[in-house]
Amino acid sequence: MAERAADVLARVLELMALASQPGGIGIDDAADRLDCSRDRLLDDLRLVVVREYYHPAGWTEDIRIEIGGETIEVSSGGRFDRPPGLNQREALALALALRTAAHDRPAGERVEMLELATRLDDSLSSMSGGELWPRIRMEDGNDQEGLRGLLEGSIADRSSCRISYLTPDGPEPSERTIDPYRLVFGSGKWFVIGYCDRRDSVRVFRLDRILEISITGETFEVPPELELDGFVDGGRVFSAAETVPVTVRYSPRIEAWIREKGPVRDAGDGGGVLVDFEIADPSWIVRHVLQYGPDAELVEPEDLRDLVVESLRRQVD
Amino acid sequence: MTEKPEKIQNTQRWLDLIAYLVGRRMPVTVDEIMEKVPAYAHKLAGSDTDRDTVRRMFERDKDGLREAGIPIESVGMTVDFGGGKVDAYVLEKKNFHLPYLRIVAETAEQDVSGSGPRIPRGAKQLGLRMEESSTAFHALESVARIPSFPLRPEARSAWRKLSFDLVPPPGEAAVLYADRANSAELTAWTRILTEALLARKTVRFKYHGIYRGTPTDRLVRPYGLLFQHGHWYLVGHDENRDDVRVFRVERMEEPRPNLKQPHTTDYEIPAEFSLEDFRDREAWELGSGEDGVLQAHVSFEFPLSLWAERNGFGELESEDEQGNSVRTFEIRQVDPFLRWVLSQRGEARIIDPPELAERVTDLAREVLAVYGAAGGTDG
Repeated sequence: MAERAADVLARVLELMALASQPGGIGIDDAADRLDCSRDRLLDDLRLVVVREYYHPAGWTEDIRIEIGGETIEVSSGGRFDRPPGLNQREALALALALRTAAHDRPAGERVEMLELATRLDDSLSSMSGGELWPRIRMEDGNDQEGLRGLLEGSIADRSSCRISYLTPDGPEPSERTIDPYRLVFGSGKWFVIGYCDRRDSVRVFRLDRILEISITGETFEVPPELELDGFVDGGRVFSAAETVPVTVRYSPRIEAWIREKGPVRDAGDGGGVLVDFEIADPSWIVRHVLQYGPDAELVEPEDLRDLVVESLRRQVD
Repeated sequence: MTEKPEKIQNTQRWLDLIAYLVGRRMPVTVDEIMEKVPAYAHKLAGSDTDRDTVRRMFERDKDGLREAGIPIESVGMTVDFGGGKVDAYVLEKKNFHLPYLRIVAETAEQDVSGSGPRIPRGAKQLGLRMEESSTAFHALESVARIPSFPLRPEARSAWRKLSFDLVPPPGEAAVLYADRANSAELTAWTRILTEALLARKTVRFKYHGIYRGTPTDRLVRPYGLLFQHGHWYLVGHDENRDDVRVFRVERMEEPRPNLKQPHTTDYEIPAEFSLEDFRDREAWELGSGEDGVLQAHVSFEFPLSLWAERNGFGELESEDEQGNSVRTFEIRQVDPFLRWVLSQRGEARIIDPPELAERVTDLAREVLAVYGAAGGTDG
């Protein structure tokens, strides 16, 4: 699909501003800064330079573009030495970014961030995104206590946290100290991955199960060998703890939705599809299949089938 | 590298127009623009292009540039000492350029950014505290990582523009989004819906309700977009059902905006509509409520009661000494609510109204039958 003229213009104007700085800018550096390929950048430059063919003599004398070896330098009498102000969609992106981030902060910080958002709405663009942002909202989840903001701060500061955590099958919340490494959003839920003193290993915690949190005042180092890839795959978040294989059958009625979520196998004669999971938390898979009512059946292993049946009997009795 | 162009492209004409207008103190008339801006003058010099055609080209270019965020202003200009008014245009440098951004001290409006650029007289500028600058960069990085965020390129370019004057903070992002497998398609669709929403154009799509066999055709006026629980939702007025409905974007088939009359709007968003009313709603709260709103009382065993309180499910009605609680829910769609209660593994139970409690029990029996377990329904 051909690129929109407005997108090309935006990139050219940014390029000219970068190349107007003393000493100009390297071609590869500019391509890197502008998130585009070197070839595309050179095409953009060609577009600008060939204007000379139809320009009358002298018209562009105060806009000079020098391409020397690997650098570009522009002189434009101050016309193009700065990028344009934010356009409407950029202003909207910034307005949404700050308001979404503000949602995750404790009340005091939230007010300050919303004030900053309003100030930037009015200052950085001739086309405010501030009037548009109420039409798009991304403050996901109920985070009135600013838990995510607090954890983000702890991750940045390397501050350990004391949490009261509700494990799915625990008789009551447990206290533990965690060193938070990363916040992760997947499967519609927020998680924090971090070292847990109680388990003496890196674990995954669901934020909706953290009942209380406080900063301990201790700091930690992130292990250099830490790999987070094993915790996140295909839109889902996994615990690194031992897992068990589980197979679930979904009925033809909801098959289309399940196919969209990831790999499936045909279920054979009865119709529908089978999905194979690697599960660390048995209660998760039980809740997962129950939310689909009769349209999902945990096929195996047998002991987890029994857990589903047991949960259902509690509802019937 | 500089071969002669086959034709003058839009971007080249737009650059000519900006280069001509920006920095001029006085407004410039349309006639002057057409005669002096090379891309138009070149056309006028050709034998097959009349003045009206070039004028229309200029009008399209001006509108396109304004849409792209280039603030070309119209001014009426008196000519010939009161002989009449003509259209004239101006592009002020201070409005065209990004304001000069500088870091200021915590308490005083004092520039602490060191040897920044010299700020020309009359140029717009904005002082930010170091912490505010970091906040803006982090927020833009973070929003660009939200799965299928429709304005990701713009969040990136806004970040780049801030970095023209300010130094981005170091450090790895604290938040990781586990992207969904179909995110490229979803991103394309959220973008289409965003553009339709901003332009107030209706969209058509086929929609798959989760328990509806065949997709239904929908014509919707977009009122807002929501990202919650990991999914994008369109909230809009469904023309066929004459009601505001919520649609999960993943369940749409190729949304198509109305492309007719692109510079006009198809609808207005009612003043009383608030997207906030739809935010942080569970599936059972998102229905139209056309069959009435049902109140349900649900008991939660300890410690699930703590989880319900922590996450604001329903309103707390009572709590006993063991920490078990009863919470009140307002239900607009019964089926999703029943399945949610069922998924609580028997630790949450509807206690009132009895007919709703009976429906959960019936549902549980139906599922038990799937497992061939005693207590299930026959068949």
